[in-house]
Amino acid sequence: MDARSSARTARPAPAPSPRESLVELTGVARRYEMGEVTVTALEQVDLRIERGEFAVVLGPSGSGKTTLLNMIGALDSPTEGTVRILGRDITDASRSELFAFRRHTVSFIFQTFNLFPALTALENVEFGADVSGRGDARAVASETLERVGLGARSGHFPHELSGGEQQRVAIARALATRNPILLADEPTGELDFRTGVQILELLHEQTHEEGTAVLVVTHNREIARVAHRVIELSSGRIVSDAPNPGGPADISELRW
Amino acid sequence: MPRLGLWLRWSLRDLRSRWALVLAIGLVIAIGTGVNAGLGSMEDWRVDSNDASFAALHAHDLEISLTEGTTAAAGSLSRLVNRIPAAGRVEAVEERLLLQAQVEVGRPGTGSLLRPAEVVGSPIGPRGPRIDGVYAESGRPLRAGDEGRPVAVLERGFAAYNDLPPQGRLHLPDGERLRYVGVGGAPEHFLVTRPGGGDFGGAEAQFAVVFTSLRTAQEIAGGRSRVNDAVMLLEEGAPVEVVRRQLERALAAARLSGEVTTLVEEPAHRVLYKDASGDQRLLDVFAFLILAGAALAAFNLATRIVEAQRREIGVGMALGVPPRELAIRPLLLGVQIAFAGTLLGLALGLMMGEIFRGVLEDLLPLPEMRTPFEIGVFVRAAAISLLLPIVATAIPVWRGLRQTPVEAIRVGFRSARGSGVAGLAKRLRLPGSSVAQLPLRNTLRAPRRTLLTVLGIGAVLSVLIAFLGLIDSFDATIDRSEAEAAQGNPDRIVVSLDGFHSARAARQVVEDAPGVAAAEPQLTLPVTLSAPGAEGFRGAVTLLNPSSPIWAPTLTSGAAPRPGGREILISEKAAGDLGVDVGEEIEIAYPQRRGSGYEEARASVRVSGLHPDPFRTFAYADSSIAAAAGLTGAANQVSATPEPGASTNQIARALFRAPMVASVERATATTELIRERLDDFLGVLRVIEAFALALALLIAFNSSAISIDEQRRENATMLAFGITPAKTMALAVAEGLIVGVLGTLVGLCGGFLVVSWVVSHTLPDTLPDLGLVIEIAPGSLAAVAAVGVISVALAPLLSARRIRRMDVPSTLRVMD
Repeated sequence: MDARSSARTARPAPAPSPRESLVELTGVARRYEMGEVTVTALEQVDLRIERGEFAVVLGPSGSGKTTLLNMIGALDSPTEGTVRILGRDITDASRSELFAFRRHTVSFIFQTFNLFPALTALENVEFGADVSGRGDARAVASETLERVGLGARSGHFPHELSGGEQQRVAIARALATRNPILLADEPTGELDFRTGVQILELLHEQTHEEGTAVLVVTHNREIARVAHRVIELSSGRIVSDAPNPGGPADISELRW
Repeated sequence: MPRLGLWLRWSLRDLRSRWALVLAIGLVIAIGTGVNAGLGSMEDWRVDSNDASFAALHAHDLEISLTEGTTAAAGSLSRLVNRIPAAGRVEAVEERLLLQAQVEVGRPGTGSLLRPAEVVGSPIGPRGPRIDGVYAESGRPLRAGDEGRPVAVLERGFAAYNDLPPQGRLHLPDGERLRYVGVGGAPEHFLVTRPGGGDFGGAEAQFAVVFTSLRTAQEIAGGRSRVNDAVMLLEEGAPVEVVRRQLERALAAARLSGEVTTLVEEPAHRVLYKDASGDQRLLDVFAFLILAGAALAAFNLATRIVEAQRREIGVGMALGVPPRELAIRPLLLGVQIAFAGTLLGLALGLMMGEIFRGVLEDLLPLPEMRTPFEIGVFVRAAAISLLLPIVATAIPVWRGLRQTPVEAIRVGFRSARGSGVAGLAKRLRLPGSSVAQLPLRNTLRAPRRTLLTVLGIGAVLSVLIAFLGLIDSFDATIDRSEAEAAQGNPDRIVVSLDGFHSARAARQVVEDAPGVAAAEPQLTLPVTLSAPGAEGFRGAVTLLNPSSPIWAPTLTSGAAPRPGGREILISEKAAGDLGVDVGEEIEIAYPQRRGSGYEEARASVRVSGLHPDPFRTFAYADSSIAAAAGLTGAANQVSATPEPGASTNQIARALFRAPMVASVERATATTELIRERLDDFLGVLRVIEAFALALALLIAFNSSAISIDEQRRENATMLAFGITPAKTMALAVAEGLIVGVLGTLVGLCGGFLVVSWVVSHTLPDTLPDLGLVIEIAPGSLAAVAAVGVISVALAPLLSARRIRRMDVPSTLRVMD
């Protein structure tokens, strides 16, 4: 499917009914010792994300958005509290268990894409399928790249692609893992409006078609309009966590 | 506008954060320049040491040596010298008696040694012999009161090799006993060579030189007042060649057979100076390769560090800072590396002086060693170490300054760099997953970086392979010679006689000895072989029985010399050097008996065949040469086969007091001596090998450390996707493996080229008598491959901690 046409036709998705809880944070705190100073990045965070949910985390710089994402992605561990993913407490999981968890449960999209410059678009996507142990990685990669509208660009290296194309490859790489949780850190931060919309459309589609839980961290309030749920952070605490009033807006209504 | 102070402060902060890397690159340069300076100084050190040593002991300017077996009445040679027209230019002359014998030396705890020896009898003044003085390394030298007393000084190399004490006793075959009061040496024996051993020296291991007084030597020879040698010192500026020709005419007029030689023709002198220059050519190759490896590596590493500052250069451009000021900071990095390299290089250069001094003292037993710090050589190397990092940093600075500020300050995907030549591999469906393909793709992605690393490692590894290849080539050559000497009769011994004797009597003496199964007399004559258009050389022709049951040379082409056919069998190497083939004629110059002495005679002989011994000095002829030399029925050697179970030592003891016997040795003794000498020479190369190895490891480590830094975001991405640190390290190791394999291949090719070049261009001058076979043993190839591949592949493991402790989230958010 062409991402641009899909952006035009996408309709606001209905709020999901109570479903399987994929992510559950209880009383999570994260503090960093910086010499004699203790910096609190997160404090008393309770959060639950369900399958098929599209949630946006908002907040100013230093509010703890990325730390929250890192906790869910098992890149960081809480100082206090528990993190349960797919019903399993990963708070005290060993390093090897965390690596296995990342391979099979979460996938990432980064603001700066972080594609492998020595691999082609197809190979970058294949990487995602490979690490999560999907059967025919090449076939999965081709299919996913087609899905993000880049089938014709599969043989190109990242430096031969535009920013939007690179981020679509990064999304395809994350989707190719077929993992149930997709974490996106400022996925449109590097992109112009038009390209950003295409990216959001892809993420949205993923929640609807695959039931993937998508958690987007951004400081762009406009993006929050298309989410099922908006979580606001300030100084490491959740100051608001509620469904979008009136439901998610149509992506075509977004402006920034 | 920022001032210089700011740049200096900034640069110092840079230094604080990466001092280890600056030091490591400095060390790479230091090893390159230090080893280069050390190796580059070797010839100067050796020549200075040679000059000082020959001068300190008043080495002779000219020497009269009477032909083997010829003696003259004491005083006659001095009178002969004093009667030549240029006698006024002769400052001093001393007559000597040189004897070939066997000696038995008591050795505490391990039984006595029986070895062939040369006794050098010289007149003893207050401080020993005035000309060709004898120094004592330990014990005491000879002094005036020792004249006529059974007192001697033993050659130091023989004593050292056989662990002999500084004082002890020697027994000679006729019952004479000598007390040696010290161990030392004399100019003629700074390097002990033996006939047939080429110019290798090293004979001291199994050949004793005994320095004693002239009267004592005459006593040993039977009490007659005879001499067979005279050495002279000439006035400063005296025409050596004129005096020599006059002496030759005087010898001929006195009907004395012998030769007059100058100091530069003395084997020890010739070999020491020739080796100094010949070895330097070899060492220069190694020095160049080490420096080239270090230069390529330092260039690569410094360039990669400055590449990381390109964006900051762009930011400065955007802020309007003049390019020349922007260049200051990265160039200061080059200056820091240059200073680190120069200071470490200076320290290493001084250290090399000490190391090589020790190596030289083992290699060259000279009384005077001169290894001063060679400023000129070091300055040359230091100039490279200063310039190299500055140029290496200037290039990326220049590239950075060429970009527009907009390009320079771009972040994220817009700053994505190209994929190098990775595109070449994209259509190639390699086995394995996309993860497995990353290492190869990464090496292709930065071809310049890969190439410089590969060349740097390759240059250093080529030093290792050249070193091992030379050892293998020497070993293969010596093995070939040994196999030829031992073929068909591995226990064969050679009994040298103390002059020419009746062949029948000689056979009887040896056959009568217990333990000897069969014996065959031989006549070996010193000859000069030459051919039109080719440079002649000295060798030894042995007249033998081609159908001998004891030993006969192998034929690689042609046939054995026919009896009475005036034919000669020479080595393939000799044929090559003389430019002749089987059936062609060469000329030989040989001693011909005339009255009581010998004269040089020449004859044209036909090459009947070729033998495979790599020494060109060995030639064999039929007995017609003996008739021409006036030595029909004479022999000066006996080749013998021991009885089963009889050792060479037992036979030597049995023949110790036998008449006419000078020495008893295994037929392979010459090749054993060469092996000993080779081991000493390899001491120099072992130092190079150690530094080459250290350099290879440093390059591998630095390169991998910088690679891991350059690929930190890719590594962080892999970790975020759940690839374990162990697998991430495995990918880095695989990348190192590719670079290691490529570097090793370059090293193997380079090493083979170096060995080929050394064997075909350098060694023919240094070791003209030896036809070296080029060989690099599979074991050597495997060893270098293991060092190259394993060290480079495993180097990333040294950075494993950085991967394990990587702050993945922060690294992933870096905007560069």
